[in-house]
Amino acid sequence: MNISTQSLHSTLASLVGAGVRPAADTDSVAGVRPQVVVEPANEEEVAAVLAFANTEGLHVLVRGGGTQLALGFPPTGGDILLSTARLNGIVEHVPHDLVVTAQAGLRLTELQATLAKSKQWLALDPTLPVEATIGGIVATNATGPRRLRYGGVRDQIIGVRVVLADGTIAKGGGKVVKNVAGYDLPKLFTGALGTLGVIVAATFRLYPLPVTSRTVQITTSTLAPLGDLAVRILGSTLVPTVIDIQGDTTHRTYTMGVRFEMGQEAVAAQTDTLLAMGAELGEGTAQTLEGEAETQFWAALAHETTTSHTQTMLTLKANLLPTDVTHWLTHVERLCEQQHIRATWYAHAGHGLVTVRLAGDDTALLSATSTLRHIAGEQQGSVVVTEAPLGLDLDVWGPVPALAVMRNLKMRFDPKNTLNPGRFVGGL
Amino acid sequence: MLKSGIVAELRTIVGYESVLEKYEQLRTYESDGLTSFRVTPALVVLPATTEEVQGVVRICYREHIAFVPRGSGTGLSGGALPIEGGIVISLARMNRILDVDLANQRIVLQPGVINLWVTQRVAPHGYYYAPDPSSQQVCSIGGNVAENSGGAHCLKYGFTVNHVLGMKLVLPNGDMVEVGGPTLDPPGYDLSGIIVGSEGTLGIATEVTVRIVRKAEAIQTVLAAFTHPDAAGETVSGIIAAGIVPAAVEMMDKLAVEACEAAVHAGFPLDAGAILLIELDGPHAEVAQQFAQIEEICRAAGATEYRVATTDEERMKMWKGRKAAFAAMGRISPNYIVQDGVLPRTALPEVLREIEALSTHYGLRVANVFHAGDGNLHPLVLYDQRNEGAEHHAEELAGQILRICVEHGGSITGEHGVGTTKKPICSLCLPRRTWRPTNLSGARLTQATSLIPTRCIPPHVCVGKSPAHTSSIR
Repeated sequence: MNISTQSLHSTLASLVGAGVRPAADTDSVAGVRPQVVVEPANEEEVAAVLAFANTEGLHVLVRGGGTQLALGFPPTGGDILLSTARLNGIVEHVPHDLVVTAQAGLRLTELQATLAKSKQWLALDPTLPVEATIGGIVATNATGPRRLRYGGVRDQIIGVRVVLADGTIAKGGGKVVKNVAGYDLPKLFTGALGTLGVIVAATFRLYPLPVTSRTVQITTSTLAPLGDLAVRILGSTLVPTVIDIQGDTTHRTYTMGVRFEMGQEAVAAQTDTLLAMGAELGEGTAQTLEGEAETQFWAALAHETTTSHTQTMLTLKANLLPTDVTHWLTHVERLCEQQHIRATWYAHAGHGLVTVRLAGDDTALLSATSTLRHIAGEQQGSVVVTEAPLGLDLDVWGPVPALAVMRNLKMRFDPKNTLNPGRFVGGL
Repeated sequence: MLKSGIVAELRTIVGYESVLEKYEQLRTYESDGLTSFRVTPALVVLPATTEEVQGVVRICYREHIAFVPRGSGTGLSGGALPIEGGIVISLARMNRILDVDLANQRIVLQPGVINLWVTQRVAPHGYYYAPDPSSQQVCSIGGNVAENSGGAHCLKYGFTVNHVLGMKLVLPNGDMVEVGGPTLDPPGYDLSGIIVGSEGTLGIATEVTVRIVRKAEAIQTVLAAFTHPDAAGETVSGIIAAGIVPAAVEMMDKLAVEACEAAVHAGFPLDAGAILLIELDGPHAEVAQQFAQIEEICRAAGATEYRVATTDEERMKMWKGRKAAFAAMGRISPNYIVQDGVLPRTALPEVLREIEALSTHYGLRVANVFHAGDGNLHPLVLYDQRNEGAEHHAEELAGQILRICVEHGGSITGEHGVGTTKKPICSLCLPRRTWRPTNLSGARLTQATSLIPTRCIPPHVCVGKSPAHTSSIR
C-alpha cells in the first residue's frame, strides 16, 4: 500500500462526503493506528469505501461501539477505520410480528427503549449495553446472563445485510422467523469478528418484556455447594432466566444470583421452591431481591472486577459444560494461590460460560492461561483470552478445530484480506 | 455406468451386503417424500461408521461420482433425489445413540437415529428433544440436520439449528472435521450454524451433538374453533399482543379439518371455518394464568368452541390429528401438492384471501395448515391427475402461493427445504436483476462453499445457485 494520508482522505471524502477525518491515537485498534476514520451514512457509502479499499489493496478495520476492540489478535494492517456510528436507525419494527430490523451502529439501549414502548425487547444482555451496537454485538457474538433462557445471538438473529469485501451489498435470511431458503448466513456472520463482511443491518426475533422479576441471592463460603445447586436447578422444572455465580480470590465468599422473570404468581412459586432447595445446602445465607435492590445487585455483580495499576491484567472467557464450571474454577483458585495471581470471576453456571479477570506478573499469567486452557480442553471446553496487554506473547484464541475449512471460507469471502486482517482465529 | 471394480472396492469398505445394486433394491431409493421426481441411482451404499462414510466418499471424490446422502427419505422437497448414474449414501445403519449426558442436557447421536427415539430415550428422566416434525416417527436426525427441520413446537423452542451444538462432518473429499462441540461458543466461525439446513451440500454429518430440553412442570392444550379463519388469525395476534409465547399455535382451515377427521377421527369440529390448537407449557402458575388470558382472547374473537384437553390422551389425540394432516389429504383428494411457504404472521388474513381467489380461479381446492405462531403456511393443493391439465394447474397454483408469500415479505420455504422442487423458483426470493450482486444465498455463497470441494455435490441441490454457476463449481 502506497498511498498518502492526504490522497486517501480526499478520495474517501469523494465517496462519503463529510464522514471522513484523520485518525487520532484513540482510533487505534490493538496498537494499529489507521490513517483515516470513515463514518458512512448508508450502506451504499460502506460499499463504495470497501470497493475502493479492496481495489487498492488497503486494509479496513471495523468499529461499532468499540467495547470489544481488545478481542482477537492485533490486526496485521489497518489503513481505514470504518465506523458504523452513523448507521444508527431502526429500519422496521413490526410489534405484532415480534420482529425488528436495526442498523449496525444503533446502540442496544436505544433499541431497547423503542421496543419497550411495545412491551417487547431484544433478548440480548451483553455487559455494556449503553455503548454496544447491534453490529458489534452480532460480530462479536456478545451475550450475557439471560442466554440461559433466550439463547444467544445466533438463536435470535433471522436476517442480516452485509457489505462484502469487494463492495457487494448482500443479504442473508429475511424478516420471518422460520426460513430455510438458502444457507443460514446470519449465523455465519455471528461471531465472525467482521472478517467476512461488514454488517450494516440485522433482523431479530423479539420477546415480550417479562411482567415481574425476582432474584434469589445465595451467599456461601465454599464454591462446591453453589455449583451443585446450579446443576440441580437445571435438572428441575424451575425456569430461571439467569443462574450466575460470582467470586474472587480476595474475599473467599461466593455469591449466586438466580433470577425469575414471568408472571407474578409463577415468580413467587418458583422463588419459594428455590429457597427450599437452597435451605438444603446447610450453609450460607439466602435472600430475595426485587425492584431497585435487585437492579443494584445485578449491576454490582457484573461490575465487580479485579483491577491493577501495576500488574498485568488478562481477561479469559471459558466455554465449559455446566457441570464442569466449579471444577474449572477450583483450578483457577489453586493456580492463583500458587502463582500469586489475583482474580475475579463471573460464571454463567447455567450455560457454562465463565469470565475471569486476572492480575499478576507476565510469566504467572501465561502459565496459568495455558494450564486453564488445557483443563478446559480435557472436558471438551475452550478458553479464549478476550483482553490482554499488547506485546504479551499469547495465542488468544487457542486451538481451533476445522481451521482449514474456516481459512477457505475467509478466502472465498475476502480473498484480498481486506477486512480486519489477522484478528480472527488462526490469524484470519 | 460406474467403472468396473468400484462395486467391489465399495464392498471391501462397507461389506458385501451393504452395497445394493439390484434394480428392485435400488427402486426403494429412487425418490424421497416428493414422489413426483424419481431417479434410479447406480448404487446404494450403507456405511456403518464414520470411517466407512469417509472411505465411500473418498472413492466418489477420486472417481468423480456424484453422491447424495440420505436419511429416512421423508423429505418433501426432493433433497434426497438420486443423481442419474450416481450413488446414494444411506445413513440408515448408523442409528445408535452414542452418549447421554442428562446433567448437561446433551445427547450424541448417529445420523440414522430416528427423531422420536431421542425423546423416547430421555423421557423417563423428564427430558425430550424439542424439534418435532410431523414425520418424527420415521425421519432421521441426519435428515433433520440437513433440512433444519422444524415442527409445531419450534415457535418457543426453536428449530433443529437451535438444538445442534456440534457434529462430525465428512467433507466431500472424504476428510473428517469436528465442528462445534458440546460447549457454547467454541472459537471460530459458526460452521454448525451454516451446515444445518444446507441440505447435504456441504458434507455428511456422521455424529451430531444436540440439546435435550427439560419437560415443563405443566402443559395445557386447547382446541378453539371459529366460524372464519380471520377470527382465528385475530386470536393469534391477540395472544402475541398479550405478551404470551405459546409452545405451539397451529391453525387448520375447514378443508384440512375435514381431511384429518376422515383419517384419524381426532374429534375436530367439522362445522368450523378454522380451528386453532394452542399449547402452553411452563410453571403451573404461569400456564394457568396465561391459559385464562387465552380463553378470554378466544372468546372475544368469537370462538364457537373452546375445548381443553383434560388428559394426556386427549392432548395426544389432538396432536395426532394435526400431525396427520398431510397424509390425510389422500382421504379427500386423489392427488395433492404439499406447499411450504412463510409469511409475516400479520399478513395471514390477506394471504388466505389471495389463496382463496387463486383456488377459485383455478377451480382447485386448497386446504391450509398453518404454524400460526411462526408464520409457516402449508397450503395443500388438491387435484385429480386424471383430469387433463389438472396437475399442471395445481403446480402453477402452488407456485403462485409462494409468490404471494414473498410479496408479503416472507420466504419460499420454512422447513421443507429448497431441494429439487424449489430450485427453479429461488429467483422469487432472489430477484434475477439483483441476484448476483446482492444475494449471498445465490452465486456468492456457492463460491463460498466450493472451498469444501463440491464437485461431487449434486449441483441441483446447491441452494439458490444460478444455472450459470453450475459449471464453475470445482
